[in-house]
Amino acid sequence: MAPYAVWKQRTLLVGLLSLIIFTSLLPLGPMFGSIPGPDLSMCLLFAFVLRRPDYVPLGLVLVMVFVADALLMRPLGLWTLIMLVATEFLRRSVVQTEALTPAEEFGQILPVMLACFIAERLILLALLAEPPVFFSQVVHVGMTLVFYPIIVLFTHSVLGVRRLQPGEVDTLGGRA
Amino acid sequence: MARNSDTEFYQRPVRRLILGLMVFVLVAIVLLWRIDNPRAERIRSMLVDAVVPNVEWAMVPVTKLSRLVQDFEGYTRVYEQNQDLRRELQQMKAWREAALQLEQENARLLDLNKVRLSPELTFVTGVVLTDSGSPFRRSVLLNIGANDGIRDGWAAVDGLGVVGRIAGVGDNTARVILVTDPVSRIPVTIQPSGKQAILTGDTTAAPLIEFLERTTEVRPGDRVVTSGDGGVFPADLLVGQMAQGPDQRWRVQLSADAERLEFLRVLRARPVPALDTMGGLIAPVRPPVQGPQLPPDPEG
Repeated sequence: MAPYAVWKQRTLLVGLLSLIIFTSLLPLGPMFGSIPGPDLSMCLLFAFVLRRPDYVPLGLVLVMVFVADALLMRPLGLWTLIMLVATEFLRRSVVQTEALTPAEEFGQILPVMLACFIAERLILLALLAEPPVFFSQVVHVGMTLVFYPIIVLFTHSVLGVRRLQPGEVDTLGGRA
Repeated sequence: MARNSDTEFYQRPVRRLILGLMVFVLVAIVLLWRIDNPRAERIRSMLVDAVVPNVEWAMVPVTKLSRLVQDFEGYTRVYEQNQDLRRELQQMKAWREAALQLEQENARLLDLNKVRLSPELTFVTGVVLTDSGSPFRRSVLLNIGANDGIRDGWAAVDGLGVVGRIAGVGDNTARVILVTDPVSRIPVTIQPSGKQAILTGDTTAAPLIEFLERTTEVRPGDRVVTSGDGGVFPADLLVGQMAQGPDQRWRVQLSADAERLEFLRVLRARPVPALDTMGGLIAPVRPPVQGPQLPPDPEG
């Protein structure tokens, strides 16, 4: 039932997410000096889910982000929860029959990303845990937004993750 | 099309159920992380212990290679570096003479005083495996853990100064929270004025000094050492030098090269109490009643 192409893309996604965790774990000090870098795995997940929701199953998001949470010393499970809800929200808002210009897509992604970071901050405050320093989180959000189009370009042209053309059938037979 | 709607008919509710279940479990994990933090951190160190040693083989060559590239960039300035090093070497020779004389004097004085250095301050050396990887945290993972006798709370130093403390021990790995991490708080003494303060990390390379009274007695360049207050750290470990940032706040220039750690020494300090509860209130100890005794109650 499961065609080769879908599993290939899923494996690729898992590989890329692992690579992001791996490189950020390398003991070379913070990569961008003292400036907090972008959250590339968030960009990657969103870019995938907006093009081909069937490439990003729930279990993949759950496992990969949870492992990242544990290894990168983030609050255990919180970011996983937020990413799960965010990808699910985007998945439901995808209308496969309509073409999406880059500007429209950015307009769709911007509020979701902001909501993710604000939700994380609010939950941490509500739990009386210490949220990240405000200024550096603002820089982090800005970097993530700047890197999103680059990641989209990468997934589109290098990985070949594109929206379904009219007439194409969703390969897993799920919701198109 | 028919197949599509057919599968959707039963897939959708199942999917929704699975999603709901996942969200529920994750909320439970977040709450566990907040309420019973030591337990959640044990789960985390179990996971780290299972994953990181397995990818060490891949990490080591990549790390070595990128360090090589960094070093290679340094070759372009090799002439100026050489000049600087010569000049520094001259100064160091003078210091070496002074140090030798002081060492002899110190040995004589210690002998006179019959001082014995604490045998408890031995150390275990570990190799740095990974960084924290998150932009908001500063910590490293060592390749030594509970199997090597490492305990939570012990101090980690590099050759020169304090780097951080152990927080989270797996069987074969241990996490060191660096002094630059935003949750790190270390009681320090500033020499020679003897002022007490708290060293507070804020993810920058130079952590802040807080709760410092009368800053007039402190100058940039003063030595900062751990004070040993609270029993968390051994006393008199070198931390760094005082410096004042452009915002006029006092910071500490670390002696340890916290941006580029390769080996760390974990000091085997005295046994620290195990972290198995979140800690209750610390009530003040009531002093004995002073002044005259209360008159006895006339009614009995």
